[in-house]
Amino acid sequence: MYDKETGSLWSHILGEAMSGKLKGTELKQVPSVMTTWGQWKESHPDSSVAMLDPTAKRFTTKYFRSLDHFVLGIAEGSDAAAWSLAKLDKNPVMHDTWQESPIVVLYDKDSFSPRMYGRMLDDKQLNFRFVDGRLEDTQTRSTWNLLTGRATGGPLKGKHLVAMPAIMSFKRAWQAFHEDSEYR
Amino acid sequence: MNSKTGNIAVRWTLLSLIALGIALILTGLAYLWQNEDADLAAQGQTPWYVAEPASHAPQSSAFRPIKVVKEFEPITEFPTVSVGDVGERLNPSELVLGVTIGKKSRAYPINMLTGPSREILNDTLDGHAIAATW
Repeated sequence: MYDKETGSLWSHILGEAMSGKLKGTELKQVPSVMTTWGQWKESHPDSSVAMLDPTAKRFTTKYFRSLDHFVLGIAEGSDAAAWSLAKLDKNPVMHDTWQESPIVVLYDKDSFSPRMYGRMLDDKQLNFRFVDGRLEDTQTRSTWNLLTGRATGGPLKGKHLVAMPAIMSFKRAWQAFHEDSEYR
Repeated sequence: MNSKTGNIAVRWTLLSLIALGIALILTGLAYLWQNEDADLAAQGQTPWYVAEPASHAPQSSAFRPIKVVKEFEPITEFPTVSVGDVGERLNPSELVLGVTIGKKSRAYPINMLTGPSREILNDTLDGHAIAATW
C-alpha cells in the first residue's frame, strides 16, 4: 500500500509506513467489523453501502471453513493479543483485559462476526452473557446488539459500548506481523 | 552398427535426457508457483504476477512484500447506495466490512474489494477521511 503523495510504503495490517518519507508514521485505526450482508442489513438499516462491480464471488460464509485459521487481533505499540475464532465459537462471550482495561470479546456464530468492546459504562463494569440467544449484561439485564454495541432494551437502552479497533485476520498473517502477540 | 551411427544414438539419448530433465524442472516450478498462488487465494488475495517494482519500491530489509504489483490510480470516487436500494445485488451470506463513525455507517462488500486494483477504497465518512483496505 503506497500513498500517492509521498510514495511511502505502508503495511495495511500494521497501519504503519515501513519505508519512504513517512516511515514510522502510524495511521489511526477505525474500529470495523467483518460480518455478513444479512447481519449488517438487519443491524444497520440506515447505513450506506459501497456499490462497485463485483470482482469476486467467493467471499461468503463458506470462506470460514477452518475457524482455527482466523483470529480477532488488537495491537498497540509493542502489545498485541489475539483471540481464535475456534475458541470464540465454543465460548462466544470472553471477558478479558486489554492494556489494563476490561474488555469483552463477542462472537456471532451465524454471521461469523467477532467484536471487541470496552465494558466500562459510566464507571460501572459490565459482564455479559447470552440468554436464549439474546446478549444481556448481568448487572442490569439490559439487552445488547452484538454488532452495534448498543443497548436495545432494559435500563441501559440507548447506551453504547466503546468499540475497540480489533481486526479479523488470518492467524498466520497475525503471527507474521506481531511476533510477540499473546493468544487468548 | 558402425561407430558413427553409435555416436549419433548416444547424442540423441543425451539430448532426450536433458530435454526430459528441463521438462521436469519446469513442471516442478509451475507446481510451486501454483501452490503459492493458491496460498494467496486462500488469504483472500487475487493471485497476481510480479510487475517491475516502482522507483519507490521498498528498500527496508525488515519489510519485504511477497510481490509488488504495478501501480494503480487511487480509487477516491465510487457509488454508494442506501441499504434499502441494494436489492438483489448482494446475497445475505456475502461478507462485508462495516464501519461506524458518529452516526454514519457504511458497508464495503468484500467481493467488491478484491483484486490488486481494488483493495484500497479512499473514502470519507462523517467528515473523516478513511481508507477501507482488504
